[in-house]
Amino acid sequence: MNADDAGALTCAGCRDVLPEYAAYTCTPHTRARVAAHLSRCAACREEARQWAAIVSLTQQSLPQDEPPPNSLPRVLSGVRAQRAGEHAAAQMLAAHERRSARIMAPQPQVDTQARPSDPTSSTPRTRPSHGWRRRASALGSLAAALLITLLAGILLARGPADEQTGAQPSRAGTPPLTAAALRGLDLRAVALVAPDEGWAVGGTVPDPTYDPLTFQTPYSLPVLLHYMRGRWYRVQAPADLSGSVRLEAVRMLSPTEGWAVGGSLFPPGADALPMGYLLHFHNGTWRVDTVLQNTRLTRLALLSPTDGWVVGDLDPLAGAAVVLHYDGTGWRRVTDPIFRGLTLTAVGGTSGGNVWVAGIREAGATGSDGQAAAVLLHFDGARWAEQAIHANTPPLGLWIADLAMASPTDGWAVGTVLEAAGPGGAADPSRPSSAIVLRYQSGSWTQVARYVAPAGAPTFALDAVVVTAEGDGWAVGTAGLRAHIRAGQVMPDAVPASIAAQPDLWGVAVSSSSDGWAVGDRGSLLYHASDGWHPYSP
Amino acid sequence: MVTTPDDTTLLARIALGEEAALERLAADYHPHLWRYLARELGADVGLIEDVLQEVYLAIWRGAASYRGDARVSTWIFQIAHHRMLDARRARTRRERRAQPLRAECDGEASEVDTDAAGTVPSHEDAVLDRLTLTEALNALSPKHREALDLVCYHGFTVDETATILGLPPGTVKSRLSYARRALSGALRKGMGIPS
Repeated sequence: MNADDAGALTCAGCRDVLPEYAAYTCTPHTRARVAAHLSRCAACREEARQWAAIVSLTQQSLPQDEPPPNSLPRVLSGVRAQRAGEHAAAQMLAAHERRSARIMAPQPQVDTQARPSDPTSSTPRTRPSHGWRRRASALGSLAAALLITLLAGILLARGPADEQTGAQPSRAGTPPLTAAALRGLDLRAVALVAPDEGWAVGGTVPDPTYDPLTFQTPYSLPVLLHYMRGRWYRVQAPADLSGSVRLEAVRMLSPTEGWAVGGSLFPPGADALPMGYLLHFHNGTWRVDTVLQNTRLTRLALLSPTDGWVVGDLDPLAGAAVVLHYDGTGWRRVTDPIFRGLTLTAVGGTSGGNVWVAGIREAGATGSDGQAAAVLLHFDGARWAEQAIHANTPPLGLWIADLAMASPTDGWAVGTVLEAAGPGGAADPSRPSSAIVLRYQSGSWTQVARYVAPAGAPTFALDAVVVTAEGDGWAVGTAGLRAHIRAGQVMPDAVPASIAAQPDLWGVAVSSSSDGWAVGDRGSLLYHASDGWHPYSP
Repeated sequence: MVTTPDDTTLLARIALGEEAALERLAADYHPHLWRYLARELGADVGLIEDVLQEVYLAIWRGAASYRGDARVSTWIFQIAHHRMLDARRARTRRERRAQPLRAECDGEASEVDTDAAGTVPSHEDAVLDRLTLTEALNALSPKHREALDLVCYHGFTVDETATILGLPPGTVKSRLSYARRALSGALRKGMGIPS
């Protein structure tokens, strides 16, 4: 392999092993390295797709590939007959030798036809051993799946882009998204730059044919939607971002300047390296600005043109959550002992001297007692400090999904909390969780609302919150749950009676008290007007 | 393609003269070897069965010389490769005697890899671009198709394929690379991707 074993794979090294990667014969270690390289190299990814197609093609059987009935008995019969003939010849030779009174020592039988490189007369080379049947089974199961997933991936990768995107930034000549195309998208976040312009991000609905063993086709493709003058359009994601990626957050500084973050997305059980992506929108084009290995980026806050924050999952190599800060010239990783053992799930603030992040301390850390414990951290411009959370239950089993600050002294956070197993009892993971709202006021975070899950719902959460400087805002969540924030109060606006009532909502943005958008699974796009929320009709 | 501990045990029992062990090993490998030989020799059932008989005999005779350095499957396919070349050459000689004016078309007599330096004959590319994927695969030269089949279908690594073919691993890589590039036109067409 043309690469340093300890370092990242080069393109040449990757391409050397792509045939084995596609045929699933390389080692898991090599496989992981190739997968990591493919996740950031479009050229090698294209070659990997070709190899997947070739492997699928070679799996196709022709009638001549199958041995005819009774061929094995016929062949073995021939083997026996030939051996019998050799045996008879050997006996005649032995008799002749006895007659000539020559005594010969026993000699190993030798294939006189063998050439020096023939294994029956030469020294074979070293190989590790595995299992034939496992291999055959893997090939068999991959055979059909590879071609299907490959072609599906190609169609996914090309179809929507070809149909619905145009040159950035103009949407001229590009048809708006159709209802059918929208249903194939899971939207995670939305940002508005004006009442008639905004962006939404997410991923394609995960591919059910995705094979976690092969990484050959994307599980979910990144999605960027542009809202202009009453219509949503899909914009082609940067070419080097295609892969199993979902974008999780977007924020705009202006119509020509914005940022988005996301991460690799794989189904449970896929042994894939997490990757984080930071995208920059500048002068009409989205480009990949930063790629991080070992962690996913999930939330983003732009407090000013020279002050931005990104948070993400626990980076297992660093042992701490990833935190990035933008100072107007570039993004830099922020390290602080307080981030150790954390996965960060929310970020917000009002200025560089008033930044909040929320997350969980992974199970097993101090005080967690086996359950993840929610944490809220504040940055005053000089140092980070953990803040107490005054919830009706202890922070165990509490998950803060998003937070928004109306001012340095007024903020909101939303999430989900496990129900206690009785008055004063511990959080009970076997019971459905409830959606929760926390308010920051007078220097402390306090639980102010809880919405109990409808029957049959395993979890119930508020996943996004937005609030204007005037203190007017919205929170959205599971099955279309909506809560309205106004005059320091939070009130339920839509509480689903059934978990299947509506797709989950994951993002919300407002440009004024009477204008906003909420986005969610299966292409959910709701707009808010003075008379309430309405579904977007393409 | 990989080897179970059973294969090694079977080979040891064959080395001790146990005929049932040979029959069991042959039963396990028969479909794989048949497919390999059918792809290399064509749908000539009699010829394939003759070659298989030679292969199983060579296993019987050579089992005692197997030292476990290579996987049993690699060792068996190495035997099959050489017997296949013998059969192909014999057939070519017969065909030449029958058609003395027919031009030589099998490049196996010369092991010089025109693709080893990474160059692809442009005229062949142009032809392959116009073919469907299956046709393009069938249009590959035997040596390129064999390397492709051993790695992509039979599941041997590049190093194992090199052992089977008696070539340096680099030559196998260049054959694979050549095959992919030769197929890329048809691949793009098959996937609906413009060239």
